Amino acid sequence: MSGQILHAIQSRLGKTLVLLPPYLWMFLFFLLPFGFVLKISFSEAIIASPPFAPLFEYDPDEGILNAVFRVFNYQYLLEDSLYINAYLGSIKIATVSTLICLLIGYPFALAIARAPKSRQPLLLVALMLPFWTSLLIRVYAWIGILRQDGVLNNILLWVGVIDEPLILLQTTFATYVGVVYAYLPFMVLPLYAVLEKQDLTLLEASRDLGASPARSFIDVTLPLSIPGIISGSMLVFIPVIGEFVIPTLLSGESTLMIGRVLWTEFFNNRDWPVASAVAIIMLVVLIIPIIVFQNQQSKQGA
Amino acid sequence: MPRILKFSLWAGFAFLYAPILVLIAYSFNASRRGSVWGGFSTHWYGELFRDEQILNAAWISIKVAVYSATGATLLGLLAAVAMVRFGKFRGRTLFSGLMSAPLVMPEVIVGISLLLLFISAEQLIGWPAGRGILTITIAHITFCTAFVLVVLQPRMATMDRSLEEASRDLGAGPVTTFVLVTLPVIAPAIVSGWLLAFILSFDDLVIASFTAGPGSTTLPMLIFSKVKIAVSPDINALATLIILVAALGLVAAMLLTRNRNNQQ
Amino acid sequence: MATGQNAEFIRIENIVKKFGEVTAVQNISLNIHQGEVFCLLGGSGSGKSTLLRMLAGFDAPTEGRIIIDGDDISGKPPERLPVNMMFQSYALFPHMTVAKNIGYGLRRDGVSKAETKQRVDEILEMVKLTPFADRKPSQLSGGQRQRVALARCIVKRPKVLMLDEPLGALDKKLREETQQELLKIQQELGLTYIVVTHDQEEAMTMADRIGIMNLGQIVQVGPPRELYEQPNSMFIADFVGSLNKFPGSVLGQEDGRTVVRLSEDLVLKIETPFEHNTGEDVMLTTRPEKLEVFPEGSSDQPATQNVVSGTVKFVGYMGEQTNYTVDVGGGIEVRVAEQNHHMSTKVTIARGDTVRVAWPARASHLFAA
Repeated sequence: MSGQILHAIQSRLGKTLVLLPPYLWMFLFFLLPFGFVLKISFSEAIIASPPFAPLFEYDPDEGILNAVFRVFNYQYLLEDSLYINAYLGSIKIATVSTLICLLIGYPFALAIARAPKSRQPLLLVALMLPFWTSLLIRVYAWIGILRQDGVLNNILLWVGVIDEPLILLQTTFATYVGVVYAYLPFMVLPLYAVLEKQDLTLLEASRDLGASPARSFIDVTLPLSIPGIISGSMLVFIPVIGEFVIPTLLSGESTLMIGRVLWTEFFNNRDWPVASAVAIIMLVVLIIPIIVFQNQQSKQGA
Repeated sequence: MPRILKFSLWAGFAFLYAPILVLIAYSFNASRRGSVWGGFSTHWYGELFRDEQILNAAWISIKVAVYSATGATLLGLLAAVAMVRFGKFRGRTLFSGLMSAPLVMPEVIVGISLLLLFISAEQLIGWPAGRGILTITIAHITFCTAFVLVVLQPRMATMDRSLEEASRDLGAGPVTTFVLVTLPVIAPAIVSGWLLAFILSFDDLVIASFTAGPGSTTLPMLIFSKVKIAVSPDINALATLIILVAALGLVAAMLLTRNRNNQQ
Repeated sequence: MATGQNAEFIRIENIVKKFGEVTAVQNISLNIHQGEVFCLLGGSGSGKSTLLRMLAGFDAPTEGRIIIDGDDISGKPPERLPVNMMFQSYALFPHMTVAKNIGYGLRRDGVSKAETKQRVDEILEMVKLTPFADRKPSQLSGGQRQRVALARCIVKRPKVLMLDEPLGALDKKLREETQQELLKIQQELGLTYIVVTHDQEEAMTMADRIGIMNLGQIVQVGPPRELYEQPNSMFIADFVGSLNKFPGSVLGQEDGRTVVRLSEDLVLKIETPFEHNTGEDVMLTTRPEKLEVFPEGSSDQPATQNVVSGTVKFVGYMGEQTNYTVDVGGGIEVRVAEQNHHMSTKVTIARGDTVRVAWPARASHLFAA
């Protein structure tokens, strides 16, 4: 009996030892920091190091701790149209890019999933390779293609489609190209994962019951791939909202995205409280997509 | 395969690879002006290896990537064991949420929040003193762990449990079993996870920019500061090398998992 | 049985199917009657599934024609054929309810929503699944899923219903029940079934006729009894049921019987429909249940001329029958199966006993070696 209790304690202890390090790490370095962002978003920018006013002040005369929450950062964000436009711009670019990724990525993923089993590993490596290469470098590569004396303009001039070089770089078009390019693998991989697992006899069954190939696709393939569509869309949409590198290198001044605004506030204006408030509102915007993504992940894990 | 699928397959790959191929071609261009082909040259590669600044930054990036990949692999392994083997433990939902959220969390948010944490912690307890390789590594471990878990969890879940049961049956304790049976079986996935974490850390710009200190400029930070101003041919050469390293890493990771599949 | 309405309901004419260099089906011609249960029986790689897939329209034949009820279907897509398939895995759409699954094919045929609902309800009643109409397939048992798969096909009133290993996924108890259910529906609706299976028991009990396939060809077609009792080749004899096989040589004819020597001491007189030349090397086959064992000194007298003495090497009590292996000398071991007619716990024959094996003249076949 006591042996059993000892065993149970040991087992409990073992589990705790395994669970604790990752749990503690993610709590300390992922969850807890959001608290500090929230805290500093209620602070005020000052010229000091670090450049924000403390939230709590101890008053030795009264012997009390004073907390001063300043909401003007948020007021400022709501009043200055720059921020609202940047949020809306990010949401628009993320939404449109997600749709384009889905449109390009779905047939792409389907083609890989339906390719002969022996060739799929090679196709997957080919798909993963860009994903393993630095985002910065892949986006940078587009500069060489899109700039005025770049490859694309040269080809178009040579073919004779245009007479003088187009301005492609630093446009919204370039932003979309960059975002779709950078995030396409994130859409294709989860789609491939569900499509590859699909039971092909279901398609044969629907054909057998009288459905055309197109009808079978709509009735069977598509609804059964919804988990992949959700995962892929969230894997594109959520990070694109905060995207910084792509708008900085490819977009013009008129294409506002909130990730770039946050960066500018933080590094250029050194207004950490406003940058924090920008981050908090971004999190609020993203909370529903993140919950959708998490649900999908845990459903697929089960 | 229907023609439309075949078309989208090749169009998709053309789209993914065209910029990379253009970049590689430019890196061998003798001309300083990108648009003009001035003949084949490896001049920019030579330039690269004489650039003290780039070599320093590369060394810092490699160190950070090795530490981060190792740390993330250890944490990811523990997390995978917990997720796959512990069934429904208390706080599982929060745990799995914490583990997968970094996959999608915008980098600027992770970056700013970690920096504010480091600064506040320094004010409160004096640690970490200043920012540098240590703080970048902590930040990278945090987001890389999630990716390592994505690689390890399915491998762990599909592993034949009877192997572990056989080991226990033959008299090995849980820890011995894990070391002697489980680890060797999932070793290829562990290596793949480590390689992925290395690459992610090595490539990261945004989070490193927030958490780096004055003396710890990583390679992506250096590249970014250069390309923001102008296209420079030596960056083409550097980018080509980085792509090459990533390609080798990926092929290595794929071969490892493939061999394992063949054995089964 | 409704056979004979149309003996050429399905005409398979010189069908060949090649996958690259591999010939999966070579030159099969076959007629299937309207209203019969026809079973394609064969091992894996025998070509039976390829033939089925061509009949359902999933693969087009390389050569030859398939004509169903007067229509040449070769090369037509599956959705245009009056043929439905019950898949081995059932292939129920996991995202649709039972009712949606069953109504799917009707909707594709342009049947109105109201009529679809009515016909689905009728079929649900028929397969006793009415209370499960709104469940998803994952919430059903194996037997229930099988009935949904069947209902999904028969609601379309197909001219031919193909069943791919219909009982394969069910446990033994459920198999018999399901099998009777399938046949009952077949007779009620006057359907033509084509069953593909590797399980000879399934084929024997379900089929009106069986076509046995090997290496892409149909080796023999006939009713189950004919295949079992009059196999036309060694392959068929061996494929169906269990078999004793002994090499021997023909000594000559005697009283219209063929005298075959299996060993120095073992000479049998066999009645066979075919002439065999003296001196010919043959393979003698006998099914275990055609033989009888008698304990040494028992008062029962074997009613046959061929009686062989031997020693029991193995006794296997199976419940409904007992299997014996008897060493009859000359390196020959004979397997005998006897029905256990009487309820008795007394062991009559045990290992090591000396017994006599009665070997009736009509119990064996001779095949050219």
